[in-house]
Amino acid sequence: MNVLLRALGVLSLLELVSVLILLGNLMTVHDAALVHVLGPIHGALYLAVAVTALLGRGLTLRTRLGAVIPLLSGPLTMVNVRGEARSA
Amino acid sequence: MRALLLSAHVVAGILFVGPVAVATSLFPRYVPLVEASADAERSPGTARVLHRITRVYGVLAIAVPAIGLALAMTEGRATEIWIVIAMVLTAVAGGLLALQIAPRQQQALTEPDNGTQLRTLGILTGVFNLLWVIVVVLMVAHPGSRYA
Repeated sequence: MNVLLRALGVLSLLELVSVLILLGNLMTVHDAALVHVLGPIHGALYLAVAVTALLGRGLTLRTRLGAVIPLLSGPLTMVNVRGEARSA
Repeated sequence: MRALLLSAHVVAGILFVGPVAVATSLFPRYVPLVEASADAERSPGTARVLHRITRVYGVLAIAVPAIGLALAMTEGRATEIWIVIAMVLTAVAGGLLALQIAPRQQQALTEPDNGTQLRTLGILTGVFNLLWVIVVVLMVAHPGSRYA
């Protein structure tokens, strides 16, 4: 697995974790301070995954499109990165 | 705290992004081509130094958006439109640098051609620098800010 795929894999995992914590917070305690901190961090991670997938060289169209879908880009990209690593 | 973060943000922007802008702009002019060219200033040594500056300072420059995000959160204005637009543009600029400009520099060093790949590199570098100009204007003008 090359550097690009590994970076994309790590970023998409972090994005998934951040969105799960945000959703968990939404369904349970509604802590405003947590949203205040984690919201912008999740936004930055989403951006990082989307831009990495769009600008990275030699990725499939499927990986690129999956990475720009809000909320689903984390898990979709994790799956797509595995596919890319297998076919490479 | 705000003054410390803002100072670190601005200093990192000047000292880390500045050298990257200069090194990426000069690289296509100094990297050797496949045929020996008349201008003697092309040399692999200079090109390697410029590539190294691009890579090392590019990594250091991650401090700029990281501190900027912390600053926006402490000020409670991370959702203002000019900050969101600046974050998107910064992400695109960082992606361009890490995923297109640096790998293409590496390729120009290891597999020199007649200059075709340098034209693409020049265009990407121009876009990269233009993105930073727009981000700095946003940082100064704060369009759409509640406190502008």
